[in-house]
Amino acid sequence: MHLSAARDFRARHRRALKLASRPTSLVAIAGVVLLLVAAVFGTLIAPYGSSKLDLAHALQGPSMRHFLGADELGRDVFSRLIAGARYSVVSAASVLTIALVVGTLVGALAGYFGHAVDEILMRITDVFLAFPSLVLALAISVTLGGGLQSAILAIGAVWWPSYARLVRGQVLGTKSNDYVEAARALGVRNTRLLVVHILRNCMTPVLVQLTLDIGNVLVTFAGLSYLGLGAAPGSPEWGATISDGQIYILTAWWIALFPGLALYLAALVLNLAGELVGDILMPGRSTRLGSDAGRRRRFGLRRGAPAKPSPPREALDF
Amino acid sequence: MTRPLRKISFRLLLYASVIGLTAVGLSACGQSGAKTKSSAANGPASNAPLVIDLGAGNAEPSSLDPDVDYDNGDYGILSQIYDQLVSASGTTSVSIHPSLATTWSSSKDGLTWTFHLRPNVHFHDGSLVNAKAVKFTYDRCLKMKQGGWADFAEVKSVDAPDPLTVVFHLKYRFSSFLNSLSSVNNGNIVSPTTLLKHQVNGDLGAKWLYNHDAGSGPYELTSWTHGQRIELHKFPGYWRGWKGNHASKVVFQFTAASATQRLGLENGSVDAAIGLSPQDFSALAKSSSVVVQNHQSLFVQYLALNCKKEGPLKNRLVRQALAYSVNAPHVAKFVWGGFATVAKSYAPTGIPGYVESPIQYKFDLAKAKKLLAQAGYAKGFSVDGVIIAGDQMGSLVYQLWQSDLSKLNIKLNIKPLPYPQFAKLQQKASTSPDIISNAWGLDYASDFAIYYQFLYSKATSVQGNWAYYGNPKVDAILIKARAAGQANSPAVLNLYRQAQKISYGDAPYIPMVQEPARIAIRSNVHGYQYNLGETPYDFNVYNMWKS
Repeated sequence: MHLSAARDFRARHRRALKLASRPTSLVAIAGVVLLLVAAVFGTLIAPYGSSKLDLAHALQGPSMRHFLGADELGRDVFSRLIAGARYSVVSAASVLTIALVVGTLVGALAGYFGHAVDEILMRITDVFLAFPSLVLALAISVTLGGGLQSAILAIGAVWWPSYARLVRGQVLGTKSNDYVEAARALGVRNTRLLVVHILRNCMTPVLVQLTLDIGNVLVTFAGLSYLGLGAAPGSPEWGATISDGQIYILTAWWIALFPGLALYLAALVLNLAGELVGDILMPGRSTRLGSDAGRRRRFGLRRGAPAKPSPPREALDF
Repeated sequence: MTRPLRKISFRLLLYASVIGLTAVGLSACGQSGAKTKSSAANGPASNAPLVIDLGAGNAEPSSLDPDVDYDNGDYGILSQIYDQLVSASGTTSVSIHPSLATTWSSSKDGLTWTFHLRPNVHFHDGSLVNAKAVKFTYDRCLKMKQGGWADFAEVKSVDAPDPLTVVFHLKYRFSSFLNSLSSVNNGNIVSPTTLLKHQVNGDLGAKWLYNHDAGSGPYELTSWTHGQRIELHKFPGYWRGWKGNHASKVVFQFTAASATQRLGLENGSVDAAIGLSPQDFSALAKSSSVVVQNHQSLFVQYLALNCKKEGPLKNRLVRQALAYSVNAPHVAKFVWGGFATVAKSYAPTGIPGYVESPIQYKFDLAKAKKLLAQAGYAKGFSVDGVIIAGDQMGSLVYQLWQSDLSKLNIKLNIKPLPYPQFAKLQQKASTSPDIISNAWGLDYASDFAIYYQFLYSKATSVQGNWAYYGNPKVDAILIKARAAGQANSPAVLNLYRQAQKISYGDAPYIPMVQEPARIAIRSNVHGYQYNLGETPYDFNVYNMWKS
């Protein structure tokens, strides 16, 4: 029984498994797993507490006692690196949750109702998109008083517009399909129509965009912390430790180098993982827009969809 | 990225990263260990501009108008462009010397001061430096009421009975009056000819003077590139003359990190620098092409505890407990790399009027715990510690303190604030931060500029009493000292001893260390003399030259 279930699984997901076994993808998966393990179980693995001072060994290089060296107050760089992973993962997740929720709400309403609602919501989105993202995030963060929560809200506020646009485009494309009209004719009300029939069928690109964005959010958050507007001073967040460690770059280089490497590698594996997810869910991503097979896959037709695709037409009107 | 990465591209990326990182690593090691070009130790004077890096801290002036700016770094530039009536100098202790004024005297009641000016001194615009110009300078300062004007709040009026005599009339007797004339903020004599010529709407030339010069000093302004550098060139008509070796051009930079300064010094693109980290400073000490000097400065790093705001800090016992929880020797060792000295007074050593406080707080967590329990805070509390954004030393001080405080169940939240925001909050006791960590730089080297600024109940807000401290007994002693004679007289020193005994007991401030000034100069640069009397950013460029 077991074996046949496993074989079925492998058969149905053969393509996905094949994609996932490429070397690039394996590295990406391993990296993401490592990151998550560090974020969740960090405190159990770390040899020292992330704020434990060891003044007697301040500024000492990598050694048996301090695997990756100690910083200016004797705190263990390795322990802080692991503790920082939690900050990064949690902050990135929070930011993207905000961006997803707000963006989907705005984009879905704009795409579905159209006309005045669409105009107003899209102009608001344009205002946010007009500013350079880091500058706007800085300004919002300072206004909100600085600190971790302010930084998360600030970056979330800067990130949602691209999701709004994406969702709006998807909704516009999906709502003109026959099955949606059929459902409406049957008397399905607006909310249920929107959520069940439309959104559920067009969220795949959004999911892919989400996975691709994690790396970028991570780096942006570290950037804000580097400038002093993210995590509080003394916290092991990677951007903050890079900033604190830079005056020692010529004498105690390990303080800034390792968090920097961690940030770089994390962003890299997260991007690769995003690519993998994109390849699995949307194989037609790089093909021409409007190709029949590509469009069918892209819109992930599932529930309520007819067996035959509707005739090709200008479904995307943005 | 619309195409998934192919196998080959990933490998390429991997190899490129490894090579890139190795290259960066090697070049960094290479720089610090490389043999620097040997420089002629005592060859003929060179005409190349002297490049002085003042660091990215507070060094760039917000304005070149001496009656407007209020940052300690500004004087480093202004002292090259302007002269004052007297100058304050000394390496370990400060004394007053004649500058534009050659002799002076005060009336018996101390309310009238007469200065005789040096003849034949000219401004950069060619006009004569005379009593009218001095009168114009002080009138302007008191009229504009910006920057450090409060240093001259006691001046009632200034007269110019003849071209070379200036008379000051004071509202009350003020023992530090002479010292105040060497202030790093005001008292820089400006040319009325130039300022009135460029005046707009009766602003006394303020708009123009923001980025121009109206001085009589050894150097004139060539250009100011905001955020980067200020260039000065020599003023041929300078009253001290140009016989002998003097720098003819100087460039002040406000670049950046200590590492950049260090590399610049090693490869010769920077001739002198201040602002190196303790570690880079120690590393440069071993270099053969750079000479390093470590001096006491007038900056004392302290914590200001908000005495007026509702909360645990309002209680005297709680503040005393906090004073016992600060490990000053550790701060000197781990934040300043061993270059700072533990502070034994509110005042920095070297100024007239310096006296140790009879009460000293030694690091003692047990005592702190007892005091907290006595005050009813055995369970501890949460408190906000504010630093000005960018103050890395202040941040380290807090991080070091945080772990000791946690043993007392006190949670310290470190909050960096940009300066404008901080200044706004600091205006009222109810919004002012619970704890502020800062280094106070004296306007001029004398007792009044520190005791009064910190402890006088009416000197609140930006002026200096950031703890909103007020004790009528201390106020009375300060007023008495203000009117007394010489700051170094036993009577006055005793008054300050009393004032500190009372105020240390109230613990509104916790002085920690007296900061060092770490200066590094290339070995082919001659003539530098550290001056404790002004600010560490003040280089005696006129007497410096490079071979």
